[in-house]
Parts: sequence; C-alpha cells; structure tokens
Amino acid sequence: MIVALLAKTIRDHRRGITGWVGGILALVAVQLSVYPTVRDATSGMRDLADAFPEVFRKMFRMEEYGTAIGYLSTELFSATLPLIFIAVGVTWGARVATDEIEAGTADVLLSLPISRSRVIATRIAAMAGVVLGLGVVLAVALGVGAEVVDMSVPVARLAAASWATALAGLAFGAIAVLVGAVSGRRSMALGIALAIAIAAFVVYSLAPLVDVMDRLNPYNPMQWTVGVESLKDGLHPAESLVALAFAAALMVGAVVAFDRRDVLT
Amino acid sequence: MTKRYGREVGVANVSFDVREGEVLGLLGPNGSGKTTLLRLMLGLLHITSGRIAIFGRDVGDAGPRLRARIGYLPGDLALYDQQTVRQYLRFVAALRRMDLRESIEALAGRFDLDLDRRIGDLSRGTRQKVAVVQAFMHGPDLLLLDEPTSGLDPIVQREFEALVDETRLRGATILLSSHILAEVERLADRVAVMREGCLAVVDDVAMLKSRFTRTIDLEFPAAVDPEPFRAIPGVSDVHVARRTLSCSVVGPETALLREAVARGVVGVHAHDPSLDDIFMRIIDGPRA
Repeated sequence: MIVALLAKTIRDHRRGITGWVGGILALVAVQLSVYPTVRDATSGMRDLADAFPEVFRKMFRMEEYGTAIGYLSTELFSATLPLIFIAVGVTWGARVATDEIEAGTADVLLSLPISRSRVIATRIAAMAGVVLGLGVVLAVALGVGAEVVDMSVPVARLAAASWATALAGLAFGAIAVLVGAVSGRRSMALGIALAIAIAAFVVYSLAPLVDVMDRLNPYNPMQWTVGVESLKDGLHPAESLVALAFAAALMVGAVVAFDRRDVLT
Repeated sequence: MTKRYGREVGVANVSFDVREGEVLGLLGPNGSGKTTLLRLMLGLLHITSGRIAIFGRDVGDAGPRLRARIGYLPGDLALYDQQTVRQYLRFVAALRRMDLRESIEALAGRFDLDLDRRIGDLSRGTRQKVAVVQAFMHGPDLLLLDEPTSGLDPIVQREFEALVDETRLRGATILLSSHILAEVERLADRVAVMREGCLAVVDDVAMLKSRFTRTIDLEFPAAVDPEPFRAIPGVSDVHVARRTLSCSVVGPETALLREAVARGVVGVHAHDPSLDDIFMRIIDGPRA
C-alpha cells in the first residue's frame, strides 16, 4: 500500500526528477570542464579574484579561487548548487500536502483505508529521498568529474559538501511542507518558503560583513548546511544533526497539521 | 452533529440513524449540507461537535479500519488524468490492499468502460462510470454516494440503479445524495431532506410525497365540468382551461383518478412538490 503510493508519487514527478538530474550533471560537467583552464592560468585567476573588492570576495566566498577547493566552492557550492537544491526542496515540498487537495483527488485517496499520517509521511519520504538522492547524484558526478580533470579534492570532501547542500534543500523543503500542510495552499507554501530561503541566503551572504547578520547566522539553516564549508574540512556532524532535526521537527509538525485539517472541496 | 467553518455553518444539529441494509436518500438543494454530511462520515472533515458512529465505531477513532468497509463516490469528481482507467483502479485497489482485478473487469464490462483509455481523455459521463466502479469494486458494507448519477446517460443510470438494488440485496447499506426527487424515489427506502444545513428525516418517500400538495393536470377529449372534481376530498384549486383540468391534491389520488377515468381522461400529468416546498412543510409541521 505504501509502495503503491510511493511509486505513484515518484512517477508523478518523474519529469521533474529527470530535469533536475540532467541539470545537475550538465552544471557539474560545464564547471569541471573549465577547471583545467583555470588551473593552468592560476596566477591570472588569482589576479582576477584579487581584482574584486573585498566585500565581493567575502560575500561569494571567493578566496583561493585558483585552488581546486576554492574553485568548486566559488563556482558551485557557495550559491548555485544550494539554490538548485533549495529550489527542488521547496517546489516539491510545497506540493507534498497540497496538490491532491487542490486537484480534488484527495477526496478518494483519503477515503481509502490508509491513515492521513501515512499518506503525508510517504509523500514526505519521497521528497526527502529524491533531494538526498540528487545529493548522491551530485557527489558521484563530482567524484567522477574530479578524477577526469585531475582535480585533487578527496572524494570524502566532495561527498560531505554534496550532503550539506542536499541538507539545505531538505531543510527549506521542510518549511514548504509545513506551510502547505497548515494552509492547504501550494502557492502560499511556495511563497513563504522561498521568502524564508531568500532571507536566509541574504543573512548568510552578508554575515561576514554585517554585524547583525553575523549574530543571526548561527540560527540560520543556510549556515548549518552550506555555511560549514565541508569542502575545506569535511563533514560537520553537529551542524548536520541540527539541520536534520530542524527538518524532522517541521515535517512532524506537517504530519500533525495535515491530520487535523479539513479536506475541503 | 454540527460542523462549522469559522462562523459559517455547514450542518447544524443534524441527528439521524441509518438502518443496516437500507438505502437512505439524502435530498436537498445544492449547498444544503448533503456533501458536508457525507464528508464528515468519512473523516474528510472534522466534526465541530457531536458524534458519528458507523458500525458502532466512532469515525474519529476507527479511521482506516472503518474506511476499509466503505465505498465513496465524491460529488466533485477528480481523478488522476495521466493514468489509464486500469492503472487508477488498480492503484485504489492497492491502497485497499486487495486484489480486485476480477471485480474491476466485471464492473467495467457491465458499464462498458474501456480500461485502457487515459482518464484525461474521457468524457464527464465516462469519468463518472470510473468513479462508480471505484466505489463498488471492493464490495463495501456501506456506500456513500454523492450525486452518483450526475453526468450518466439514462441507459447507464438504469444500470447504476440495478447495481444499487443488487448491492442492497446483498445486505449493504447505502447513503445516496441527490437534488432530484424522482431519482431518490426510485432508489431509496427512506429519505432525509436537508436545507440550509438542517435535516428532517421522513420515513418513506411515497408517504412523504402524499403528505404534500401535488399539482395534477388532467386532459380530456372535450371541455369538462369542474364541479364534481371540486367535491372530491383532498382536491382543491380546480381550474379548467379548454380541455385541461388542473387541481391540487393532498393524500391519495384514487377518488380523483376514478372520476377522471369515468369522464374519459386521455392524459394525466402529475407535478411533484418542489424540495423547498417539502422541506418548508416538514419543518413547519404537517399542515396539509
């Protein structure tokens, strides 16, 4: 019964999943294929990075652009990949508790002998599985790509950074799930979760520059995930656990809210 | 039970029993609370106050185990457009943890339903057939049917009515909502009339109708004298326009029809009382 629901959820999203996998692979391929050129022109690139104002270098974590880790961090992990994973988490998360209700198909689904908690828990599991699965895709793509272009970054670091990025998607996706379960409206879930994600991103980006942001940043899911810079020093178990607990708490809240709400036509 | 949405009232102080093995018609104009009632019974909506028990178990507590014995046909039908009919019905069967392939084939054959067509390509009436199969295929003990025949053509409607009869004969209980009196009359043992979220149960459809004023038009081969008709008990408002005599009747129509036949009546047209009319009279008490 759970299997049927899980399979259907994944099947309904198969185009989206294919698109995201393709996008991540293409992005990694393009960025890594450029890397040898960057490495060979290291000094020039260092000059280029130095040419940016310090504010920019801090905001976009542009230090050490000439090194492999600096390059990956600047080009992929400081903004592009987190935004992709957050987009996946939020757009999918916003649908978890809302699309069947908005489409009206929830009427029959929830009249079947399956509890509402199971329905939504299964759909949350599908979303979490896909976000984390995309993290695996990313880690494998980077691992293979790094080998091909002879990039000296340990696979464990690539995996740790991919994991942290996927966690960001999960954490902000969980916000969308909760808002969707409470409001029953996909547009609201999408809007609020994206607004929070943008605010979190701004706080995270400006933390090195603005004192207030720096004080807020320890409470920022972006900091627990993207901000720990796993590429430099590997997995941060404590921050990962905080992010996981944050996502789990919101998801439990979503299950409770979904269970209590009226399913209106 | 009472259900409020904020300040708005869905159903107010509604209380009734459904007997095991009967067909109960829920009758009322659109927006009268019929759908709300059925959705409360399924737990799709949570009750504001009161209690609903089905097969002796509280709806809120029993949840999934209770729903295993229920078949539901929603009034506002939405299916997964991307799936074929077969995929959809098998998906529903999987969530019921049942192998219903035989039953699906049998019902699809009966309603002339092509299982391999994509749901998104189906007409309104065909989608309704899918919903009917979905509600009946697992042989439920209780059926909650919200406007089940809307969109069905008359031939399919007749097949549906036959299915309801068979289902009742095997002992299942059926709650069926409709805004069409004639439909409920054909199918239901008893009828509950709803209006603006309130309910009054009346034992029997024929009784219900006979208690209220119906208008009857009688056509004669030639102009007819209204006086003998005015003398019949229960008959009032007798008018003659050319060869047609119109009157209002309360109670049995036997005497009126006997008089009409004696005068060579060639046509009889009876107009059922409107639902509003019936409801108003029920809540006002039997004035007629």
